Amino acid sequence: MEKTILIVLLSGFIAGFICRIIPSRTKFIKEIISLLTSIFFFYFSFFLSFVSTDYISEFLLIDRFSIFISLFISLFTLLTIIYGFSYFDNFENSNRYYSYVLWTLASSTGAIFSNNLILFSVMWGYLAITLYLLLNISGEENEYPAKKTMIIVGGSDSFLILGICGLIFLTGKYTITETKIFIKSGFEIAIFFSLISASFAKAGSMPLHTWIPEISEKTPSIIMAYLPASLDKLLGIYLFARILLNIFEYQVDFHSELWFILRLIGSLTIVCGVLMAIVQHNMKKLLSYHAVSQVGYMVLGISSANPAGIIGGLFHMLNNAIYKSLLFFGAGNVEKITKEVELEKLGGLSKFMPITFLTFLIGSLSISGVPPFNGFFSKYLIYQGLFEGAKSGDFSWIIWIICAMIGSALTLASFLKIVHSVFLGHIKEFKNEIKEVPVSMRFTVTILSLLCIIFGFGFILPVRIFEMSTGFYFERAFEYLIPSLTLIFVSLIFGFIIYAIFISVKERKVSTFIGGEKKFEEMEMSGTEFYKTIEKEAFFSKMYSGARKKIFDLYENFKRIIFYIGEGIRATHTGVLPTYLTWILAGCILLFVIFMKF
Amino acid sequence: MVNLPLFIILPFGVAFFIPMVSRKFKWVPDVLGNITTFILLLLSLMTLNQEHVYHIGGWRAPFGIVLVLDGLSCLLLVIINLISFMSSLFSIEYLEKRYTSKLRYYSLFLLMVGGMNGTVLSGDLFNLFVFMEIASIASYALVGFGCEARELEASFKYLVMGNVGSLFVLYAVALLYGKTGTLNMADVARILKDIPYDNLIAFSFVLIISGFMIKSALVPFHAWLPDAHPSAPAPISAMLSGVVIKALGVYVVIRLIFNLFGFNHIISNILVYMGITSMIIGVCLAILQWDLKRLLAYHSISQMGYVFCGIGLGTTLGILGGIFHLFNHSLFKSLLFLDSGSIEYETETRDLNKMGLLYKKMPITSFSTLVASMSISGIPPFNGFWSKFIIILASIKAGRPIVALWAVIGSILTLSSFTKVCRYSIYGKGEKFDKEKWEKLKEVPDFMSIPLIILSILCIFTGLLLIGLENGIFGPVIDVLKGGVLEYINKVLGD
Repeated sequence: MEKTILIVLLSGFIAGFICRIIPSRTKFIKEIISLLTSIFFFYFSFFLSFVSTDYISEFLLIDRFSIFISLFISLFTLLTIIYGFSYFDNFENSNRYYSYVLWTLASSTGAIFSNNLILFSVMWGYLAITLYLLLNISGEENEYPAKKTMIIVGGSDSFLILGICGLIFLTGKYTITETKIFIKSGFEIAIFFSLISASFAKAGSMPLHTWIPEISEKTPSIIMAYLPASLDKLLGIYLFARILLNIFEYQVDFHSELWFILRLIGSLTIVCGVLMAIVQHNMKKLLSYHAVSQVGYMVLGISSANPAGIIGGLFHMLNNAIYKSLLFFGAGNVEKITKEVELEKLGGLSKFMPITFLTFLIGSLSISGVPPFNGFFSKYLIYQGLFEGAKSGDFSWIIWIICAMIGSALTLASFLKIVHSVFLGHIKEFKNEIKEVPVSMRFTVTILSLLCIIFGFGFILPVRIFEMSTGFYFERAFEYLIPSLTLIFVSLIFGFIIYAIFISVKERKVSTFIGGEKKFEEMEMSGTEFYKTIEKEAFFSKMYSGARKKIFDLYENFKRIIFYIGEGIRATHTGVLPTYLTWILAGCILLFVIFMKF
Repeated sequence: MVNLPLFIILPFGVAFFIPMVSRKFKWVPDVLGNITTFILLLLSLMTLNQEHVYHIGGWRAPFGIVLVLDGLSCLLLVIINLISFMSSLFSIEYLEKRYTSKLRYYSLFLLMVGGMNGTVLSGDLFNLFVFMEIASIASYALVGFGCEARELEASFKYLVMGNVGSLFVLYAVALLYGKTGTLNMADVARILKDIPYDNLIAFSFVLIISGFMIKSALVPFHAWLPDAHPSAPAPISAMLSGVVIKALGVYVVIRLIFNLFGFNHIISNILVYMGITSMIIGVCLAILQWDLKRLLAYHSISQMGYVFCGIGLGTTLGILGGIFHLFNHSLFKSLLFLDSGSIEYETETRDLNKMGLLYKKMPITSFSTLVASMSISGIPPFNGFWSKFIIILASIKAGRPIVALWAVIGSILTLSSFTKVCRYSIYGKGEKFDKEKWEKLKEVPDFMSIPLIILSILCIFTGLLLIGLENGIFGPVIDVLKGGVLEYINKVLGD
C-alpha cells in the first residue's frame, strides 16, 4: 500500500512539474495533463473506498474517514480544473495555475492519508506554499493579502510542529493513531492549542480567520472556490476532528472549560462572521465572510462532545465545501460575464444567466439551511448535538443554540440580499454582452448543485459513512426530524399558496410618477440599501468601525507589537563604534561574573 | 588519503601566484580562482567520513604542529569549499560590472578560503589564531573592496571590532600558554583536566570564547555584522554570512567548549540564552529593514542563534539540530546573498521599495529567492524546516519547552520578514518602482545563474541528509562533540 500511495502522490507532483515547465503556449496539453491527473486521483480514491478493511501502518492511515475526504478533495480538484478551461482564457498567469493546483491535490491527498506526524506536517506545510503561489498568480494587487495569508497559515504550521514535537515527547510515538493523550497538565493543554491553531488557521476559524476576507477581493473566484471555500475547510476540519477524536482522549467530563472555550470560539465565529458578511457590498467578500462564519458551525458541532453534534459538524464540513465552492463558482460566472463584483452595480441577471441563477439559488438555500437541501440536515444535527448538552445540567447550551440560530437567520438575510441584488431587481447596463457562461463552467456549478440536492435527500448516506469512520453512532437524533420537516414544508406550502393567490391577482404596471422629474438611477432602491441601516445602530456602528480599523485582527495587532519592539531595539543601534565596543565589554563582564569565582 | 596541508597550501599558493601572472592575461584570475576552489571542493568531499591526524614534519603531537581532521572539521571543510566554489563561480560575471581589480579580489578570496581551511584543521591554539587572522584580514579588505565611503566605513568598523576579538583571543592564548606550557589543543585539554579550576582558567576561557563569539556575531557581540556583510560584493557577503561566521566563529566556539574546556550545564545555559536573544533580536531588527542585504545580514544573527540554541542544549538531538542548521544556513543564506547580488546586478538597487515584479523578468533568480526564503523560514519540505524541527524537538525533549516556543516565534517572524522580501521583490512592487527600468531587465548571465540553481536544488534536497538521524551522515560530528575532551585527547595524542 505504501508503494501505491507513493506512486499516486508522485504522479501528482510530477504532473504538476511537467505543467510548470512546458511553455505557456501549449495550454491545451496542460489542461489534458491536469484533467487526467485529477481523474486518476478521483478514480484512486473511489477505488480505495471499495477496499473493505482499513489500512493503518507506520506511515499511512487509510480509513473510511480519510478515504471519504480524499474522494471529495479529488472531486473538487476535478471540478475546479474543468471550470478553469473556460474561466482562464484571458488570464495571463493561468499557465502556472495548473501545476499549483496539481501540487495542492497531491499534497493534500498525502496529508489526509499520512499517519506519521512528521510526514503529515511536511505535506501540510507544503500546502501553505501552494496556497501562497496560487494567491500570487493573480498578480501584483494581491501581494499584501498573499503575504498575510502566508504568515498566518505558515506561522500556524510552526505551532503545529511545536505541538507535534510535544506529542512525540509525551508518547514517544510518531503516528496519529498511537498517540492517545489524556489532558492532565498545562503542557498537554499547550500542545492541544498548538495543534488546534493550525487547523483553525487553515479552516479560517476565529481568531485566525482574517486572511480569508483579505484575499477574497483580488483573488480569482476559481481559487477562492478551490482553496479557502472547499479544500482548506476539508483539511482544517479533518485535522480538528483527528485532534479531538484520535490524538487526544475524547474526555467529555474532564476539562469542561476546554470544551467551553472551543464552543465559545465556534459561536463567536458564527455570529461575528455573519455580522461582517451582512454589510459587505462586494459579492466575493460577502461570500468569504460566510466562509468564516460557517466554520463556526463545524467547530461548534464537533466540540459539542456528543455523537449527533460530531457527525453534524463533519457533515456540515462536507456540505459547506460543496455549497461554498458552488457559490464562489457562481460569483465567478457573474464576474466573468459582467466583470463586476460590486452588488450595487449588478442586477437582473437571472434572465440572461438562468443556470447560474438557479445553481446560485440552490447554493444560497443550502447555506441558509432551508430543507430539503444539504445545509439543513447538517445544521439540524448540530442543533441536536447542542440540545444533548442540556442533559449534563450545563446551561451554556442555550447561548450556543441562540448564536447558531442567529447565525442561520442572518445568513438567510444576507443571501436574500445577494440573490436579489445580483440576479433579481432592475437590469443594470453593462459594457459587455450578457450571456450564459461557457459549458465547462455550467457543468461545474450544475454538478455541485446536484450534490447539494443529493446530500439533502440522501443525507443518510454521508451520515452513515461519518458514523462508520468516527465510531460514533447515535440513535435519537432523527426522531424529531419528520415532525419538524413536516412543519417546515407545511409553512413553505402556505407561503407558496399566498404567493400564488397574489400573483394571480391582475395587476397593471405603470411608470413611477415623481413630480414630473426625470427618473435617475440613484433614485432606485438597490438590494443593499436596507442592510446599510444595520451599520448605523449604536452598538454595531462601534463594532464595524473597529473592524474596519482592524483592531480585532490578531495579525495586525501582532504586527504593531513587533514593530514597536523592533523600533525600540533599532533605536539602540546608533552606528557609533564606541557604543558597540561598550556592548562587547558589557558582554564580557557578564561572562566574567558568571564564570569566575570571587 | 587526502594530504591535509593541501587545503592550506593550495589556496595560499594560488593567491600569491595570481598577481604574478595576471598582469598580462586578464582571464587568469577567473580561471585559476575557480579551478582552485573546485579542486578544494573535490578534496573536501574526498575527506568525508575520514579521521586523520597529520603531523607536520613528522614531529609527534605535543611538540610538533598537527592538523586534525575529524567529523566536525570535515563538515566545515565541505561547507567552506562548497560555498567558496559557488561564490567564485558567481564572481566571474558579477565583478565585471562594478568592480575593477579581479586579481586582487581572487587573491584576497583565496587567502580567506585558505585561512578558514587552516582554522578548521589546525590542532594548536596559536596556529588557529594565525589562520583566523589571515582569514579575517582578507575579509576586512574584501568588505571594503568597493572603496566607496560607506563600504570603507563598514570595513573600518569591522576591522576595529574584529581586532578586539582577535586581541581577546591572543591574550587568552598567551594566558593559557603561561598556565599550561603548551599550545597544542589536545595537550592543553589534557593539562587543564588535571589541574584545579581557578580564576585564571576562567578568565582566559571567557576571553577566548567572547573573542570567537564576536566573530560569530552573537548578541551582544553582533554590532559589526549588519554593517560589514551588506557592504561587501555579493559573493563575499555570501561567503561572510554563509561560511566565515561559522568557520571562524561557531566552529571554534564549539570546538573549544566541547573538546578543550569541557561542556557543563552553566555553559549550556549561556549558549541557549544567548542563542535565544540573538534569534529574537536579530529577527526583530531584520523585519524593519528595507535594504535587502542588510535584512539578510540581520537574519544571519538570528539564525546563528538557532545554531547555538541547538548545540547549547548539549543533547545528541540538539547537537544534530544545531549542526544541521549550521550546514543548511550556509546553503540558503549564501543563496540569498547571491540572489541579492543578481538583483543588484540587474536593478542596480538594494532597496526593496525600488524593485518589483521580478518573477516576470528574472525567473531563475525569483525561483531561487523563493526557495531560499522558504528554507530559511522553515517551511517544509525545504532543508531549513528539518533542522528547525530537530531543534524544536530536541529542546522539548531536553525539558525546555520555552526554548522551543521561542524558536517557533523566531520562525514565524523570519517567515514574516521573508514574505516581505518575496512581496516587494518577486510578486509585488515597491512604492518607488521604476517601470521604465523594469522593462529593460533580463535574467542574469549563465555563470551567475548556475550557482543559484545548484544551491536551490541543494536547498530542496538536503533535507534527505537527515535520514538515520544521529547515526546518519552527521554521526561523526555528533561523536566528536559528544565524545568531549577525553576522546579528542586520545585522538590527537594517542597511540
